[in-house]
Amino acid sequence: MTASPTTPSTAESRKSLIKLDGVTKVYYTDELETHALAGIQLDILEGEYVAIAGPSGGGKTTLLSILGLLDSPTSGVYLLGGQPVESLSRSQRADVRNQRIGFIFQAFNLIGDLTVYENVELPLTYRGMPTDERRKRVNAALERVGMSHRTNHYPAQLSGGQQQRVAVARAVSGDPLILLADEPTGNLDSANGEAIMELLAELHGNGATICMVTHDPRFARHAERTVHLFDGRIVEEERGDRATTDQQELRESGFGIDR
Amino acid sequence: MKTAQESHGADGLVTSFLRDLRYAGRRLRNNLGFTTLGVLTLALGIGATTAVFSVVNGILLKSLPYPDSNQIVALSERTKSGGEMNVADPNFLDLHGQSHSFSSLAFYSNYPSTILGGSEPILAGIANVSTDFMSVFRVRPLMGRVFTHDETAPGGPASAVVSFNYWRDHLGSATDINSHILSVDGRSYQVVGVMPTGFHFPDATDVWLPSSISTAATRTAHNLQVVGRLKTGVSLESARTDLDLIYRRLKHDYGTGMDAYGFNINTLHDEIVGPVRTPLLLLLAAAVLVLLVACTNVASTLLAAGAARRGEIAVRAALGARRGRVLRQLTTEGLLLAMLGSAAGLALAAAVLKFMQLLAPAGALPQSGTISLDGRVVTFALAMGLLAAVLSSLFPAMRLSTESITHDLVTRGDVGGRGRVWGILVASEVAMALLLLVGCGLLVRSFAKVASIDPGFRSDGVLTADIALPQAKYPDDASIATFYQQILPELARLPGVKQAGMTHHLPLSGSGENGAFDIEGTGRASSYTYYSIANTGFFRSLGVPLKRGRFFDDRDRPGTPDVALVNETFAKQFFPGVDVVGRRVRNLANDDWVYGPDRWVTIVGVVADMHEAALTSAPKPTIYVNPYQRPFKARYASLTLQSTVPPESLVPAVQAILRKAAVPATFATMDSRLSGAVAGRRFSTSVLTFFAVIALLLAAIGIYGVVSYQVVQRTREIGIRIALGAQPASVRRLIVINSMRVVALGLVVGILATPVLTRALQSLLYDISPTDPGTFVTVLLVFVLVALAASLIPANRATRIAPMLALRSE
Ligand SMILES: Nc1ncnc2c1ncn2[C@@H]1O[C@H](COP(=O)(O)OP(=O)(O)O)[C@@H](O)[C@H]1O
Ligand SMILES: [Mg+2]
Repeated sequence: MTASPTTPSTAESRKSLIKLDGVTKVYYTDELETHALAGIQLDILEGEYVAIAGPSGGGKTTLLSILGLLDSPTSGVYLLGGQPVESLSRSQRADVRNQRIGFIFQAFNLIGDLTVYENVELPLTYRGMPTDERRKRVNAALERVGMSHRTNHYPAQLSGGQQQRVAVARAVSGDPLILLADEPTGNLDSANGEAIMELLAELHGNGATICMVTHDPRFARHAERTVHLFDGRIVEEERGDRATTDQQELRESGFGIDR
Repeated sequence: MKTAQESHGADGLVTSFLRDLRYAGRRLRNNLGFTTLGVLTLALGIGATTAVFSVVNGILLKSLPYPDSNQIVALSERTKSGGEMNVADPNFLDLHGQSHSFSSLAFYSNYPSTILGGSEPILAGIANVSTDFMSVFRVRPLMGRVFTHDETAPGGPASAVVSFNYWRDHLGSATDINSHILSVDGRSYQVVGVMPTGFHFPDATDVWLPSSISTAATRTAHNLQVVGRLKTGVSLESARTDLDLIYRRLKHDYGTGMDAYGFNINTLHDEIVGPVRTPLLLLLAAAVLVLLVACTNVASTLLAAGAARRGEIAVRAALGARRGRVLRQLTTEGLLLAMLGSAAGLALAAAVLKFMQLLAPAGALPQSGTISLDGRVVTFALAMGLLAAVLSSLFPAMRLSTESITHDLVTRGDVGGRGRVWGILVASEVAMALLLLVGCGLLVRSFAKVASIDPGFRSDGVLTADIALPQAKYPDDASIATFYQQILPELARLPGVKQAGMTHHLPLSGSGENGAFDIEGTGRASSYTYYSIANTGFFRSLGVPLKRGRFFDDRDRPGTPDVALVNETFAKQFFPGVDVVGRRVRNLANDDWVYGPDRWVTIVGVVADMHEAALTSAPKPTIYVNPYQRPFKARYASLTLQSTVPPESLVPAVQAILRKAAVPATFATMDSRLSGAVAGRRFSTSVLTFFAVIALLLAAIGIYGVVSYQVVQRTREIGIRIALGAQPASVRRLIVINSMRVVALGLVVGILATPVLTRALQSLLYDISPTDPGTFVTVLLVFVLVALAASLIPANRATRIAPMLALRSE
């Protein structure tokens, strides 16, 4: 595995992909206000691998859903690629999700009635991509996650680790600007979890921008930078000081952040 | 292995059933919306079925209100085409003398006439009957006696038996009935008996007069209607064999003098209700379809409710409940729901019945007086409720109780399960509703066609009055002619009356007669002509135009040469290509026995055709003779008044004029007669339409419910799709296509099943093919639109599912 030539060596020279400024999120339920996010400042640069860590209830999922345009902030500014997303219509947001964002969920969220192939193909069909192009992309994505031998299986016929690989393939098949993953290993045993982490690291090595939520610090160490969320606030940012992106080498050398 | 669940005795079973019932009651109460919808849906189905069943019960199933009425039969002679005709006098005598099957055999003929001698002259139903007539029905008189043999012999003493109503209303409930003398058609009759209330056979008879066989009559003059009572133990079949034997003997003896092709025998009940059997059974089938649609609806709702209860059921199973136990709990809920539905359905049936009776005018349904919600109907409703309970709850309950409980204990990594069962339920619902809609569509189009038939006369603003001139006051032709000469101008002078006329046979009244005649120069006409008596005012008041020649006028008086009008069909049929005006006919079979064979009748004009016999049958060749020249039969007639005011408002003035002339009358507007002519058709069409609309509504609710439920069930999946960038339109399409696929399947199945329906419907259709493409296209269109609407509402809701639901794990 070699470092991608497109990966810049310093964060400062990279372009900003995501910028959150004073983002808050308040949930109102039965006269109860929950301040899930309270004034978040966050920059994610192109090609960065950011982990969002913190205790349960800290607001990680909420943050991710705002980043992924699944939900809107109560206040604050969100610039995606320099554009404010606030003004986007419902269907423009759908297009952004479809073309610029790839999701990986904790519960895999494959569609049970669709085969592996069809699941990966799904976001591409929403784009109206021609069949040939779709086939190329789906096969390449499945190749990348090592699932090309299971294209005609249904999700229920796969193990959890395999399902999550398919979910990763689905997320990357459309060449998104950023991959958003919410506890991607949460429903997996440690061996399978580790394998998915390696897959993400590999994607990052090839230039992908990744934002991953995890409450497990062991997995956070794969990232370049970890943002800690506590009670809806960023309490600490850590930067993994790594010159190389070869994760295998990194782990073996004992440089991983171990906490 | 015996467990506590199996070993409790009968007592325990009852207790546990009661516990189930209590629990079911609580669930239904806690889910009031679902319960209300379920009960209402079932009530619609059960109500419709029960209402129609009560009609079927009253008319088809209940026997006639006479002792051992299944022994009462109707006899007739068979025509060449297998139809029925009245029995000839000598044939009756032979049947009476030779058959061994009957304990009594009687004939009757009936007609309306004016009865004098009561408190006032009235137009009433008269029946001339033979000696055994009353014993056929085994009905004993309330007072006095029925006829004796010498009374029914030719020239016997003239006595009369009257109905309870006549005795009460016109004889003042007199106890000395023998002192009352009635005068009918110029003869006097002493009242000898009063029949019990409710006995009016045939039709609405109020006075029965003794009648004897005419020994001079031939075997080709068919004048008698015949009823009989089978001897105990004699079947209809053996009576038929008996009659066949007699027929062959008579045919052998009389050859061409005997024009019948056999004797028909049927139960009197069949004879009376035969014509309405097909439409009623069709309506019953339609109602059962409505019930099935309702059950399907409730089944899918229960399935939905049940799916939401998988957790509860899993816990029960985990706690050791067996499948049968779970099944019973779930069926008890269905049962309770269905019983509530039956109760509401019975109440609804009472209302529907009222509605149907409003729709069905008197006479459209024979025996309709016996329709009621009796014990049999209530039992039927409860049985339907039980059936509904089984159909709607057992099926979903079985599915639920078999679902593996492990389902609910492991977190599932995939989202899905679209429910084939739902598909089947909705598709069958759609298929059944489609059948009803197609049937309704065909009937509605038939009805529209019949209703749009131009009867050939105008009915608006026309008042009619049926009259019979009492013989005592109008003993001869001269007095009858004078009556019309005086009364018609007097009526025409009434304020608001534009034209006054008279006819012997009013169009669409059900009366009519035909007969042979001779054409000058060519002799006997090739076929019969219809015959009526009418004056010029009749045609003018009904707006029937003169096509050629002239109407009757002052030239045409008693003593001047007889004149007649004919209709266009007559002219075309008997004088093709030549001018009929000025041609002469004679020997009209309908009145030559009064006016002799040699009196020529000159045709002076041609009037436009009318649909006189029925709207749906082609106009018949008809000759109209002049009431001032051939008035004999005009003793019985209908007056027609064209008015500029609401016709009903003329009744008192007309009645006053007629009363002065001692002529009783019954009034009706021509409009009501015209609408009466399509009443039966309107009845079955309206009821079927009513059912079809309910079925469509239920199907729409069914589709809506299932799609809504699917949207809920697929929330996560839809959330994922939206997270992956699906546009609202694509989500909507996903849901709608999925439901329309099922709807389409139902439509295909429904269309495949239509031949069964249309065959049953054939006899009720008019001028429309059972496969009428217009009807099918319209119905399909309506259905697709309704189904689209029913799926779009929940589909729209689906597009608003928050995509972040996909992030939150289950
Ligand atoms: N839809 C919601 N309505 C109300 N409160 C919510 C909702 N979603 C999350 N919350 C609350 O917001 C806070 C943050 O939740 P979440 O973002 O899921 O945290 P995490 O993913 O870090 O566990 C929690 O207190 C949670 O209860
Ligand atoms: Mg979370």
